[in-house]
Amino acid sequence: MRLTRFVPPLAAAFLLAAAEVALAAPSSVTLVPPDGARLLEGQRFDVRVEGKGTGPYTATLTIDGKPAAFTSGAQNTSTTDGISSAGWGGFNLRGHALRTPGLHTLSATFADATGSATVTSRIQVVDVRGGREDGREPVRNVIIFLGDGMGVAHRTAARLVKYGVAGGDPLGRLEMDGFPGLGLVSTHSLNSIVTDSSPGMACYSTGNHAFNGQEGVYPAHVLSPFYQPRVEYMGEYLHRVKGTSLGIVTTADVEDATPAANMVHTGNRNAGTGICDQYLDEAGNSGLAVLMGGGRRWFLPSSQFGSSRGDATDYAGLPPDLLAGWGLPGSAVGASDSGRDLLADFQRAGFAYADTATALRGSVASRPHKLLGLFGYGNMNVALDKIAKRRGTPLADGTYVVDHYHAPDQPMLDEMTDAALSVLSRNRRGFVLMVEGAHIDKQSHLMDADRVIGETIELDDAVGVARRFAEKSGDTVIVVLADHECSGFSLIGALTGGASAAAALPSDAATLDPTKTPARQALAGTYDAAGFPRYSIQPDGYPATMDADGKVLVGYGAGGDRYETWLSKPLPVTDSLLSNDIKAELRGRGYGSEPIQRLSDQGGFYLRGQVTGGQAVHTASDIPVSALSSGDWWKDFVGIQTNTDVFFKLMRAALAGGERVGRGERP
Amino acid sequence: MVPIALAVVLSIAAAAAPGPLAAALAASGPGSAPQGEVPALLLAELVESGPAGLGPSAKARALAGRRVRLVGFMAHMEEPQVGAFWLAPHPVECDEGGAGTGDLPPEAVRVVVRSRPAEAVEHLEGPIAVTGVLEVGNQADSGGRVSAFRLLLDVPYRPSVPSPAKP
Repeated sequence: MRLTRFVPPLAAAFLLAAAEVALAAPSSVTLVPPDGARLLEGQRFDVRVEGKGTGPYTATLTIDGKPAAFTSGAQNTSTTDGISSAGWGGFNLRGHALRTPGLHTLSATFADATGSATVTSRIQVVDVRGGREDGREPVRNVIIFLGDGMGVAHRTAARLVKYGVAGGDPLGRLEMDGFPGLGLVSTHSLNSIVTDSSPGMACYSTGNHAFNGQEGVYPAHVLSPFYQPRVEYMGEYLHRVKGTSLGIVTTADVEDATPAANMVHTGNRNAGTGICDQYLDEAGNSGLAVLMGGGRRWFLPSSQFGSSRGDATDYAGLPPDLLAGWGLPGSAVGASDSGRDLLADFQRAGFAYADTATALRGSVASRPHKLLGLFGYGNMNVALDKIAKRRGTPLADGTYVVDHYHAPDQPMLDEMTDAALSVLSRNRRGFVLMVEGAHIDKQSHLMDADRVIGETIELDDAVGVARRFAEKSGDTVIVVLADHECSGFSLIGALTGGASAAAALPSDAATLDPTKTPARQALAGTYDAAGFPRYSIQPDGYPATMDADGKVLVGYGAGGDRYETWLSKPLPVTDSLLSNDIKAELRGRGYGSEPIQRLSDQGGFYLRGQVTGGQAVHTASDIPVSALSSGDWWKDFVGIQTNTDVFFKLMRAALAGGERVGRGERP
Repeated sequence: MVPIALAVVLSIAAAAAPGPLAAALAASGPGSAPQGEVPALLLAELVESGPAGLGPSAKARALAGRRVRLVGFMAHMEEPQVGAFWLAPHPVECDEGGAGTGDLPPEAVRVVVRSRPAEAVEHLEGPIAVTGVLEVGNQADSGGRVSAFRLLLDVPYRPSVPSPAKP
């Protein structure tokens, strides 16, 4: 059975290789890749040994007992590689790869003026052709749908709302429900059972765990987070060996960790200027052909309004051996260029540009080979707020949330996915596409159940676009998964008594006596009383209102403090105790008289959360993965697996038999 | 000494659980600023669309360098805010994504708490009004976050009270 071929990580804790210290030795000596790392056959990575001490420093490296030369790091100097942080010495071997499957041992010595230390790392190289013997044909295209924070209950809620249930059976199924392969994924990170989003995506795109806040790199003490030792992404690897294109589509700012963790190498997920520069400057290594989401602010020169570009979030002077080791042109060296017009540079590089849904349709019609879509200054807005604008159902003052963000014409995720596929599919060598539904997580943090459900429906619509593409074109594997679950999202039952009645109840906010039942708590219909919620779905695929009578009620197992009304949260509003002039100002801006505030609907009943901080949090729960493919690659995802397993399964699907298309380089 | 006044109207939540900042702001109290002399504007009035896209409005440019009064909501940031906070036209929760500021609209104003440059700013729920000197034009803070608008918050009013005579 295929699953048995995946060897679990060597070290459960996956710790950095520990130093064996001799004499009064340098401290904090480490070697990366860390002990227990898994790499695909031929997958490139940087080796680095570093330590803190008193110069001058020397170091040696052996791989499987054979001496290996560093590509940077001058021996017997205090400056070593010239990029190490003050007080540190560092030696690097850039762009290395191991081609023999199995276990390999990296051993390094590091010495300073006071002594020396030895550090060892055992890593596993996974056979890229693991599927050859069972005769399966490789896929041409890999599509990853990343529903950020999407657990089982998020999916169930979307299905309940969109299709309903009768007689004990769902009246319809989500697109992702129809995928034949269904499994569970453990989502733990390098240093916690509960991961954040940054290492979450990297597990799927590199096969390696990462530190929080870092993407496509191993930890190191260097002068710039962009100098940290790299590990090759799926998109880079497949572009190198097969000539594939890369597409990145998100509803977040494209600077964000999930999109960036598909081709950007940095130890600082917040370094937006450098991150967005690298999308273009290293596009030749990844085959980047589609980049869509929010984040226009990183593409505008710093002198222009709305720009977030700055030297503090940029990088300059990538080391020469890094450029050489990774086959990067000199132009990719980087510069502190906050004044760069990155938008113009993308267009000069052949990218068609769209900043609205209307422009996106126009761009696609022109059949571009490359496409850049930036539909907001920061994150894009959530599905229900975009839909409200399309439907012409404004807020109380006649305005729209999307107008508040100066992005009135934003595409839905399925439209972005469709556009991406139309561009990427022009490459006969195939593509890697990552599509992220970013706000499932964000709205779960905020415990805004209705917007969470809207986001999940939006993601599922995009999954449907990809499914139809795959069914038509073949040669494709699609996985739908999450980086982690968020909020302990759970489905309690359904509202009883009707939404209007709930809205008309007097405030429960002061009902804190545990012997008294708040009126709204009594509206939670459980078991038989929940019945079968039914929403009126409009032609656009979303409910006419999220406040349907008998609406689905959601609780949070990892929630923060809140007031619960069960009703949707259309608006934050003015405080009744404000002075009249301020109330007038805010009313003019769109905040009505309903007693609702973000995170706390004032008339709701008070619920003490399990965690502090006012928001729900990520959980350590496993997440579901749904898989669909040509051939039977989807079967590999049945059962339980680790998050890094997903990378190797997808890569085997793409490379089974060692197929070479066009580029001719052996992995 | 002429006191520089600070006018902030606090929400119920902030008033109910005052932290150091809330206490400092409350100490000045609503109405302690000469509000009639200070132009008030909505955050939405800070920007306008032109041929080159969105940009600072004529009104914002005209008021640059002057004391103004702004009303908005303190953005809830995932990372602690030290010596400053973001003011947005509507309540907003900024998570770790987008360098921590991805959910801020373009007209968000970075409010610099000059009197407490090294102190964490606790979050205040509900709308607030702030008064200070408006700055217009992109500028990065020490962490590299760029703001198009800044408000240099007035220093809280500290009444000049004669020291009690020592017994």
